[in-house]
Amino acid sequence: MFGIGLKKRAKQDLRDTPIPEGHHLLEVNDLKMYFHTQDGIVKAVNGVSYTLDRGETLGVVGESGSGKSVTSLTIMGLIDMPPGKVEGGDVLYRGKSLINMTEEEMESVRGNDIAMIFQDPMTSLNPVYTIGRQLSEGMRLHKGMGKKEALERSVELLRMVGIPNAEQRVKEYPHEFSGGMRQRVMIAMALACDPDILIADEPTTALDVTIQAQIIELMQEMQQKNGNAIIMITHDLGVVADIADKIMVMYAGSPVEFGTRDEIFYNPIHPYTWGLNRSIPEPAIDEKHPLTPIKGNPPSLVDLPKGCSFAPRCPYATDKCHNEVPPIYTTETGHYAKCHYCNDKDFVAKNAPATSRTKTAPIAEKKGADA
Amino acid sequence: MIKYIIKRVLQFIPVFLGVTLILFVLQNVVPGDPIKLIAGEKKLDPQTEINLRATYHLIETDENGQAILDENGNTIETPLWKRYLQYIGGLFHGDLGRSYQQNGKPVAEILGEKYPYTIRLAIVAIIIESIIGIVAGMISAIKRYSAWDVGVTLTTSALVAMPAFWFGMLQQLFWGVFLKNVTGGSFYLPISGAGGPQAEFVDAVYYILPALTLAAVSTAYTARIMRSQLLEVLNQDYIRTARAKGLSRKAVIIRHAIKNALIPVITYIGMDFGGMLAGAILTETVFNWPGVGFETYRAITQRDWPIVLGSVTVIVIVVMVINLVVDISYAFLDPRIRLGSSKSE
Ligand SMILES: Nc1ncnc2c1ncn2[C@@H]1O[C@H](COP(=O)(O)OP(=O)(O)O)[C@@H](O)[C@H]1O
Ligand code: SF4
Ligand SMILES: [Mg+2]
Repeated sequence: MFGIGLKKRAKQDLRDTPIPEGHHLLEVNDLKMYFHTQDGIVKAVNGVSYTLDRGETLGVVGESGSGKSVTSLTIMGLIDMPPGKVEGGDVLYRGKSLINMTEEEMESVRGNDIAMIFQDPMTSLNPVYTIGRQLSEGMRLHKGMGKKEALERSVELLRMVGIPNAEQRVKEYPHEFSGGMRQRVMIAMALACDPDILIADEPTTALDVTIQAQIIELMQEMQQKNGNAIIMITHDLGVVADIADKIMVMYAGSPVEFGTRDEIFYNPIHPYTWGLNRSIPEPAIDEKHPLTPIKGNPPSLVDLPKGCSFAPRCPYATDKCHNEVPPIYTTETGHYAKCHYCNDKDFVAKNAPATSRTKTAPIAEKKGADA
Repeated sequence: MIKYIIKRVLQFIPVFLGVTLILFVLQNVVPGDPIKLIAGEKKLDPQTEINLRATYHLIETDENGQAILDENGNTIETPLWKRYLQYIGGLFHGDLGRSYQQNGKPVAEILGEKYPYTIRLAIVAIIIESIIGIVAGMISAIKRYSAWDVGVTLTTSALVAMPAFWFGMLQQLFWGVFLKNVTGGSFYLPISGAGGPQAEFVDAVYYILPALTLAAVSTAYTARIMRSQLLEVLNQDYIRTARAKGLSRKAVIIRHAIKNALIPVITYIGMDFGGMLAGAILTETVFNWPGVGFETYRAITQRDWPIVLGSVTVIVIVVMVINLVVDISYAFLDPRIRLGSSKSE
């Protein structure tokens, strides 16, 4: 029974094919994923676009329910269709459309070229099989390794992600690992086949604060070693502050602002990003600028507001906001936002949170250190 | 693990004593002097009656089995508690007392003759239940809301709602009577008995209808449990992890879902074996199956209490042993329990 379903796929790995001229490692173009449910059409992903290259980290930030997970699961081809349906757009990996791939082609991409780790490490591992068996599976499937070889490699992987006593621990079951250790196992599992892209869907949300930092650090360390790209999904802008090269802020299924980390943190132009910025808990500014979570709830994705989807909660909303969908305003650097007033310099200068302008200096310093 | 087993065996003792005590007391408080049940309408001479009372341990006897008399020359009635202790003591030597009828034949001997029939029938039923139930439930879950799934749901609802003996009678009518008439006697199934040297069919054919009847409700439950368990497991995060690794849908079901889904199903089937021994009373009666169930039914109608008590005592022991075996296999299947129990000792 243990070998069933692990036939080696003869096909060449996609990540060994060069990226065609004029393309990026990953390109998401105006992607739309809707769910057709009894209550109506849930527009879970409604026009997401970004590009990603090797070695880069993209942070995807937004409140819960904003379509972050569905976006990445769509890229992975893991959304059940029906009820889901790709209503438009495309995802190109090394210039090849993932949306148009057959299920079989997708199976050789998943876990091999693009790997994913999930929010809850406590439930993401199968309780009745050993860690070693679960780690081996992907390598046996994609690399055609034998049982023994895959197990030896599993021990190496566990060691690599900082799990002590790895020879012993491959034989253990998930319930014998702590949450942080399980997330390390998940990372090891995702990196087992040396993927091009690692998608991490809120990998630290279920963990203690101290463990969170370790897991993020581990992912960065692995990225430096392997050169893979990372898509880091989080509802907490603070989590991606140190690691993201680019950040996409999502609201109600659409990106509302996209830019480099510095642009999003120190020169944000969308009122929703301002709200997120203000709600990062930061002890140094707590007294002067108390934590300001954004009031209200996101709109129903079945019945989106007529104009700007943030209008019901936006402190600056006007009649125009309520009635007209804002266009996407793009700066010359590629920084874009979806708001009627984000290209109005005075509007931005007057309303953007103070942190966005005063903290430019340390970031520049940090950048210098990196280079 | 050993400690766990010992602990479980020790837990049996109060349950076992409780159940047998209740039955023993019930048997002895039903109105009527046992001797009347034994002798029927016959008038007994006093010495025969005393001997009978001694044989059935109703009065105090010496080591030669002779009645002990008090100073007035009367026999001394053994108190209920003492008789119970004697009964329990007897169990350790396989002594379950004697039938009130059948010339006082030992109950253990009677059950020993009947049990093989019941156990064979139950095994055939368990096999039917496991194969049909698990496969039907699995297909239902994988092809959820398909015509197959709807059919399975309707069939299981009907089977669960139907009394087993009525289902058995319907089978008899269809396979034994209707088919016999329609085919002019060239094809039908036997509806009574368990075969034997002089029988019309080979023995195996006699199992078909009673085993199906005995298995019907259990098969329906197994299919339902399998379906809901598999659906639940397929919704778990670790299934998504396995898919994200690149396993195909089929490989995910075979490699990751089935084992998890089977754990509660196997528990149910195991526990059900005990239920089948009890359920055999109805099925065996409908099909004149010469097993313990039929014998118990006969004993109840003729107030042959020692056989009723003996047969229930054996069922209690068997059910408890099965529970233990199921628990151990459960721990074997689910590592969380395996380690949890050894650590908590
Ligand atoms: N299978 C589904 N059927 C219907 N709606 C769904 C389904 N999966 C997700 N959704 C909806 O899509 C929206 C986006 O969900 P998700 O991407 O999980 O949000 P996030 O990860 O940002 O918290 C939610 O409103 C959710 O209810
Ligand atoms: S378009 Fe209007 S409502 Fe929407 S974010 Fe901009 S100011 Fe606020
Ligand atoms: Mg999510």
